[in-house]
Amino acid sequence: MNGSFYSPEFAIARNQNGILVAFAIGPGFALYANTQTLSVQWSGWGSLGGQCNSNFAAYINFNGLIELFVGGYQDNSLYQSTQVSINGSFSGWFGVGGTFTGKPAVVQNRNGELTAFVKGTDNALWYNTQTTASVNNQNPIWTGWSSLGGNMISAPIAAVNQDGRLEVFVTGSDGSLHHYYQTSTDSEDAWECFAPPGWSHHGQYRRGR
Amino acid sequence: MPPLGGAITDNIAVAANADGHLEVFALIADGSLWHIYQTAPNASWSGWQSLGGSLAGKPVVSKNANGCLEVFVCGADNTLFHIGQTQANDSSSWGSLTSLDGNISPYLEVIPTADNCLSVFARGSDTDLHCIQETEAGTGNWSEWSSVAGIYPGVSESNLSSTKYGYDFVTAVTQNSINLTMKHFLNALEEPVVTVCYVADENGNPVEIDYATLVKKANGNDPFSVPGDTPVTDPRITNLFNARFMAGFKAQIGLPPMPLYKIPDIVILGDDTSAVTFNLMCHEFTVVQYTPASGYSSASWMNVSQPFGNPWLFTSKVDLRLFATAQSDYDKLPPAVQKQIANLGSTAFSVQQLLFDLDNAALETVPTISGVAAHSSLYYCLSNYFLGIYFSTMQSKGAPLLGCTITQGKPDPSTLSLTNINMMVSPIVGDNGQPIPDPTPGQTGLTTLCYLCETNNDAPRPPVPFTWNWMTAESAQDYDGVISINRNTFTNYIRTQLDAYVSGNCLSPWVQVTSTVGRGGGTVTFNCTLTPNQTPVVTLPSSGQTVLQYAYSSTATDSDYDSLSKITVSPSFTLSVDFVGNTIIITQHLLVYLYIKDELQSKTTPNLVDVTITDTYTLDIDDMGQIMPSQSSNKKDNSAQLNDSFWDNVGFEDVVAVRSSIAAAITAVTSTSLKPLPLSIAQNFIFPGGDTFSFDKYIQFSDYQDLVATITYAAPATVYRSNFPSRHTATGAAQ
Repeated sequence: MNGSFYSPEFAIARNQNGILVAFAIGPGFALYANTQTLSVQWSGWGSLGGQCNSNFAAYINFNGLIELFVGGYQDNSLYQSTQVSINGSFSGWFGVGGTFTGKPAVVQNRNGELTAFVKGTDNALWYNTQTTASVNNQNPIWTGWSSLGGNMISAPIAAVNQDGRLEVFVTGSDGSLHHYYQTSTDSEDAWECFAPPGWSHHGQYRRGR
Repeated sequence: MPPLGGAITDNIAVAANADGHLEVFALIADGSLWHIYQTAPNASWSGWQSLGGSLAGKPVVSKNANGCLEVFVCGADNTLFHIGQTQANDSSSWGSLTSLDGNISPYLEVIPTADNCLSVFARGSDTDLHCIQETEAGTGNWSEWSSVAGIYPGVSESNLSSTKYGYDFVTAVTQNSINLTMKHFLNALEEPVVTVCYVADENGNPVEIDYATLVKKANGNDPFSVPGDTPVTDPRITNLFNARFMAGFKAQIGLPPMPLYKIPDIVILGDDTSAVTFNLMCHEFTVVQYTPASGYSSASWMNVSQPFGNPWLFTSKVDLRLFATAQSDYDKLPPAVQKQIANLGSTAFSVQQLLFDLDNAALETVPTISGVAAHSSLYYCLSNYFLGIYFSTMQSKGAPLLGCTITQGKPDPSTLSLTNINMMVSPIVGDNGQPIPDPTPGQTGLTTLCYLCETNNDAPRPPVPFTWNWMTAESAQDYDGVISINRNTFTNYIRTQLDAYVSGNCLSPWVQVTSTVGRGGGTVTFNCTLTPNQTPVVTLPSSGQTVLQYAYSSTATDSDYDSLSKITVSPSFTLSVDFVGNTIIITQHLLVYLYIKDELQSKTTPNLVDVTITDTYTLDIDDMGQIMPSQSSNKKDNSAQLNDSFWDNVGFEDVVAVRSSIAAAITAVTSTSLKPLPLSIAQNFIFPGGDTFSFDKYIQFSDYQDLVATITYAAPATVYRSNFPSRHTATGAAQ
């Protein structure tokens, strides 16, 4: 599919054996994977199925499995697929719901749970935490979508503080940077939106559910 | 404080430093890169600081092997820029933005490799994915850009199913790899020394004599042991003269004793399959001749051996056209010899076999000699005896020169049974699909020898020049050649794996509705059975990624006029096979529709069965050529649930018979016959040539759905001389 990618976006992930895998949208709006064979040699693009829009991300979970997060081509909701085994092939696609635009940001907390942050179609920040990863091709368990409010122009980016608290950054519609962070690692609900000293900032985002 | 409010774009990135303090990077509207960071882990934030630049697109951040953050972002000039911390965890100390070239679009990803080298990926202006990476972890030295396409141009263009070609499969290997492999083969070869001697008959003409007989007749004197400077009066020469000895040569096919890289190419393919250049060389070659006195010249004795470092080269043109045409030399050979040349066993593509074919005197022109001074007595001796009498004797027998032998291999373990083989030279072609005029030596080395192969006794097809290159300068660095299997050949194989399974899901329905009339109302009985193993319609599209489709549908209806009842059952099954990239995708869909009506009401039910199963096989290949796929299976079940509420919804309160018979029929179908397909569908396939080549993990469908795998010559199986370096460690270096 040289030259026939459907969108400029792509994702790269590294298998436990060190082999890199590239992901991109190709013919049929399916997600395609291409696995490194030698340092500069790749296996070629093969389909993983699905119907995806250009908003997708790859993340390595607690068990060393690559998890793929993609936006549905038709419904813009989140779909997820996990490697069935270490370095192995991928499960089918599981629907996680929600509607969003932009690339999802995925981070892992200290318990190994993945949280996906997305820019909702309402331009607010939404998140959903996967409490149990996909095992044996079964649907993983998610807590459900919650909004942290806001009015953003960028897709969110996320990181984990040294003490384990998740922190998310977005560019607001006011053209300044805003961030949301957990006030404690214990409660997933404890989020604050905060404008640190020196940040140009117009209007405080309210968090809500 | 920089005026950032309102200026920050949506191009932002965050990373944790080695000590855990977070750092955010943002592009502002003027294209410069800014950053802000926690002053300590979990602590408050610094002010914004500029890192400069004229950039476009989202930055990406990673830590290098030294723990320093490295930021990558696309420049306004579409090259890749990067900037790194000069010391781990020191967010206030940064190097300068530096370009790493490339011609990229703004979307990037960065990831450390297993050995901690940063790898940056970007979409190139050609829309392919490209990669640049650190050559050594943390050193800041970067590789050239390389493509992640993973598909070589020649490989993507393979189109054997075109009516122009039609070969079941093609094995193509480069001239360079043939020469390198053949040299290693010859270097290790232990062919017997061939000794041929001639004595004068009663008319003074040379006639061949058995070496042992000659020595006996000459009272135990061996001509080869008499040195060249021996006076003709020597009793040994007198004895040989009495035995009427004229000349003899002793030769062993193989490589001359000199460094491998100095040895000329053995095969030069050129652009004409009927005139491939073959350089016959010998490990040792000795010529002995006695010239009796005649006229004014005195008798002379010659004994000359091939000198070290200056081998004698016997160059001929060989006709490798094995396709039966009246003008090919092959066609004139006896069937037994033809069979030896067109070997269909597991060694069909080996260099041993090729050497045997090239060395067959019947396919060769009379060789020319180089390395020997023209008009010298040595030259005349070689011309008269070796290239004259000996060559024409071998040519008339269709025999190889100097005892070159092959061992016929065992049957090839491949799934494809080779029944015909032909050879064709395929020079490098330009964009117009025509051979490049005046190719460079580099391009000449990429000329491929193509084995055009038929299986299952398919009729052989004439050689037609390929309009694409099987190998490129880039691919030749990694591989010796490719094997490409015709889309139709591989589809037919997949079909043999699927036929029985598919018919198991092709269901022929039988339905019946009967009623009995009794006092106070009647009883309506519905019956249904579904009989599998029906014959579907099979379609083999000649182009496009869908290569095989099965479809079956059938309908049964029955009515009962007493009770005004009716039942219709329509099962249908489709299965399609797609070849895309390195995947085989098999999608099957079973649908069973039910319509049911009694005297009071009718109801179109939901589909009793609506199941789609998609099996995706991602192909891999082991070094012996067996496909090693991984499989993922996805099932979508939109079937109506056969529970109480379903039957209530249908509207029958007392249709026990319907429930039992239809539900049983449906359950029988869905639980036994419809299932994800087994791995063996793809895994049982073995490529041809596994005894000769090793396969290199690369397997891919071309744009025309030919299945292409790359190959490398395995070390030729033979008796090795001591200290023989392995195929892969001795590339042109002296042994």
